[in-house]
Amino acid sequence: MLKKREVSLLLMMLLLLQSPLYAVSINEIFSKVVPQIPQIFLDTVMLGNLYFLIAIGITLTFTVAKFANFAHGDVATVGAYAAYLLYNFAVIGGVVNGLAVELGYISTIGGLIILSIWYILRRRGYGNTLLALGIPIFLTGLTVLYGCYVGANLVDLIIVAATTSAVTSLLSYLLVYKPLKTRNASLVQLMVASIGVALFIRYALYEMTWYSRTYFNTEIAYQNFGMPMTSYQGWFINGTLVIVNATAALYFMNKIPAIKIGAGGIKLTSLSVEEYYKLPPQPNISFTDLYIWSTITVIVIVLGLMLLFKKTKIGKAWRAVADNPILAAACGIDVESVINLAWLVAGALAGIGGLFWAIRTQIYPELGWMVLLNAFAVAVLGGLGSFWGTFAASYILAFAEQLGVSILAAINPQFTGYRFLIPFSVFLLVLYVKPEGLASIKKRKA
Amino acid sequence: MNSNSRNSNYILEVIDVRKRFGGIIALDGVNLKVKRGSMTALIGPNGSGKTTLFNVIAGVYKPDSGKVIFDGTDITGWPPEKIYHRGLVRTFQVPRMFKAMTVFENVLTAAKGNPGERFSTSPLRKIWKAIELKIAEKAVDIMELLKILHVARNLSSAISGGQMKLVELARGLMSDPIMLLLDEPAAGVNPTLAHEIFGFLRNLNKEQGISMLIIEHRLDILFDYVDYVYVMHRGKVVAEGTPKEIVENPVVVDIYLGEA
Amino acid sequence: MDKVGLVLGIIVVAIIAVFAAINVSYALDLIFFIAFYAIASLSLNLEYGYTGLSNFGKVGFIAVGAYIAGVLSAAFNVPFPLCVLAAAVAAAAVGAFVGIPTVKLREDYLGMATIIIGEMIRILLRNTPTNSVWGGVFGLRGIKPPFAFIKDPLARQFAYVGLSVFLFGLVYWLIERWGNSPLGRVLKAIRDDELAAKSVGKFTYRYKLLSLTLGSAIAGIAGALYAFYFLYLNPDTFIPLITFMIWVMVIIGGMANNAGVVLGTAIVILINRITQIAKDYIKLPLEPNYFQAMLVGLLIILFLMFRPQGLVPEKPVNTPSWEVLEKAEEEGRAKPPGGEEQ
Repeated sequence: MLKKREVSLLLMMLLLLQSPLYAVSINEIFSKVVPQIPQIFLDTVMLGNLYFLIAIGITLTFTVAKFANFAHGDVATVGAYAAYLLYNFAVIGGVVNGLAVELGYISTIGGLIILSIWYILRRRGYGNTLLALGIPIFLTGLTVLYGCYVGANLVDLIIVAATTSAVTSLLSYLLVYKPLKTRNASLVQLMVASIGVALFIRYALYEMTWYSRTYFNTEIAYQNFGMPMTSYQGWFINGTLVIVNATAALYFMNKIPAIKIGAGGIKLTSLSVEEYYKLPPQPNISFTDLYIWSTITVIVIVLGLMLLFKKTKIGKAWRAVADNPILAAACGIDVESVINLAWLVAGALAGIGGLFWAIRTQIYPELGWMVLLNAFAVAVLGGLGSFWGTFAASYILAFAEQLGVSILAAINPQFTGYRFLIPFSVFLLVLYVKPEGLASIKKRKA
Repeated sequence: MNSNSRNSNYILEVIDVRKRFGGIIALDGVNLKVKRGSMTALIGPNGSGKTTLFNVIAGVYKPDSGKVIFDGTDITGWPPEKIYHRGLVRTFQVPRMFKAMTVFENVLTAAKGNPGERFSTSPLRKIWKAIELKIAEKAVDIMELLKILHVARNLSSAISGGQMKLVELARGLMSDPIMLLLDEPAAGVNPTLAHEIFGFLRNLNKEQGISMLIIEHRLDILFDYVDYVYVMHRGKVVAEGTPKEIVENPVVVDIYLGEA
Repeated sequence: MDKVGLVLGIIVVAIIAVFAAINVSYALDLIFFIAFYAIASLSLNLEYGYTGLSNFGKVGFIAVGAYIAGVLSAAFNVPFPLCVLAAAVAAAAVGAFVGIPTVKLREDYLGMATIIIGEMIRILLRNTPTNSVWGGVFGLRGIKPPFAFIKDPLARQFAYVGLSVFLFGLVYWLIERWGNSPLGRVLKAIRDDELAAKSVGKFTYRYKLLSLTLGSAIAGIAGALYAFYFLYLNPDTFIPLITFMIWVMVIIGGMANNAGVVLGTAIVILINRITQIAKDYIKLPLEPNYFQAMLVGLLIILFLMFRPQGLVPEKPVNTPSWEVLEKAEEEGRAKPPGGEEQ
């Protein structure tokens, strides 16, 4: 016990010792960071949402499969790419892309075939795997077709990202991890295999970008997602928060939509251009659509998972399998179906997370991998396998990162390159001080 | 450390040990004493907490409260490796082999105080060769005694379950233990061999004075050999006595009938 | 070595000989790469093959070794042997730093911690000031060649490659000795069943930590060799893919079998080189570098699934104890009892 405390103290001291090296007074940093606090909190929510979407999948598969899946990030990239391609290339120059339509039909019909095989085999008591595989494939096909003929909107993209990642995730389980488990592979071997899967997926995507570059003259790596974003800006004026649709301000001459939140309640109004330009040049807060979408998505997912775990039979079965798969099987629970579902859900959430990450930054084959390492930090801080632990850890880590970046920027704008180190340092600190993560704190109280 | 005189009567004392896993109470205040040089049995239906108690004594789990005193030393919360060096050795219910290694290596590994086990000295054979040879002699002797010498070259994952049990026992004997904790030493073995194993254990007990605490389900065989019996049920010791007393104890009969 | 290993070994040597006949400098380069990667994969074999530790950040430890050696040489003119030593010590320190909290936890934690440390090191190196000796994204320059006094470039290369092979031989000898001693048994016991190893009195935490630390030190030596071969370091060469190349070498070769691991290293490198040459002659609708990385992933999975023991399976730990067993068997003490078993 003492040892641990000593080590953590030592680390803290090291961190403290560094600060005078920068020869910037604490006060100066303070005066730069404090005005940014509302923005930091806002960014924390958004970054936390994105961390949560990736990390929760690691937690979910961990509950049933009991190993850290290193391919999770790359599964997310697959979904992100599927959505990116659908959004940008389903319709090219007003013409529906034949390849996309073909893929859509193949996937729809393939899904239907798998489902019908399942329907035939259903009575013999097996083939649930086919059901788990058939539904997302069928859905992928439908959404692709919808995207081609009607036009891809965000919901469409979320569905396609979720289903493709879910299929990838489930396939990786069925083709790799499951056979390895039946061969009594050790934990380390499963982890190594998941790295194999990760490499295969990532470089297959790289290969795809190369193919597109070479044969279609189209660059699809390191591209912006291209989704138009509405940006909002907010000012604190006399105790009232005024949020203005800043994108509208660029196009509309008059009547810029705005919301006033203050003591008098929430009021939808509009500002004239003169009023808009009277506002201080630097907004107190600014955010985009993505902040709103990601928050709504996370709320829906958390509620959905809560309902699944607390209210349904499947949720109970899931928890039983997580606790003790052998006992669960003995109690007549269809363990295989539960595990299939876990991989599907984890993959789907990863896909959605990957999509949002791609919208936020750029799309490139290494996207998921870069996020995965942060997500590991989240999962470990959350206590590996704990739902609420992961939830809390996502936002704690996001806050640490946002605050850290602000401080770094205040010291020297060049230092923001070190932002990646913040979650990693937290991760190492957690390992030294409290390896059981946040979950242990909750347990102790109970 | 050597305070044998302080508690010369009992080699192992378990005092009010409690352990819970989440909502399940596995050990609910267990009290148990093993006389020095005795062969004591621990019986009870499945899930009564016997193996958990073993794990607590051997240091795999830390008890929530209570004490484990071994040979006059409070070993509560010690790690398993330290307890082993103190002279208390356990075997597992499901044998845990070093499965990619041969039986011979499995037994050799368990030896204490081999200087060739250090990173610094192991590259220099001269330093450890003599002791290694001695250890090998001892391993061969023990394996011959346990009748597993003919499988010495087999992979330890490729022998029968009964032989694995014996390999575990051989590993335990390599360290000249003061006491053995044996978790079902004769499980999955035919009755003749089971008698043979218990006879052998009794001999060890008599000749070398090794104390033993044994978990076993086959009471008919077990009761011919042991001195004293503890009965556990739902995380508690519910009865104790000589085998004869236990057989006649209505509580024990109740538990075992209730189980069936 | 058994039959498969022997045949493959002869093929590998033959291919290298053919390269040497065509172009000596190319063959020397090839041999250096095999020696460099073999040191790295042997260090992983110590960690994973013997002790069962999942070090997914090997490249990070190599990078630490390379950069420490490089900076010492470029900025402070420290002589080559001291640089190598410093590289080993620095990498070992990083290894211990990661190992102290993680090796007592489940294997997952070490895997995640090492992979994160590996990336952390790369990002740190990328973000070093470009005008300092570290060089940031522009890389580290100015490493002094250890055999600068040899004027003929081919002879200089020959000397350096010879030195690398010698160091490789030293590492091989050391790990082979560790493996074929009572220590080897303990490490394998920890790998096979840590709880059982604890129950027979092995202080597993200490062994795991030492294994990781020494493995990292060896990786640091490999890094130093790399630095003095290229005399230029760039943070972006130390990507995670290198780590997994090393993993493939160990998995293909056979864990806990040093000769097998070296063979696996040679095979992976030769495949790499031959595809590099072949891509100029055979046009495939594929990018060969990406395809190779896909192949790395696929090989990991296929070997784990169908030949987890690798091409050359591990052998029993070879100590004088077997003589004792042999003698006992000759004396007829190893008779099966009555034929009722088996």
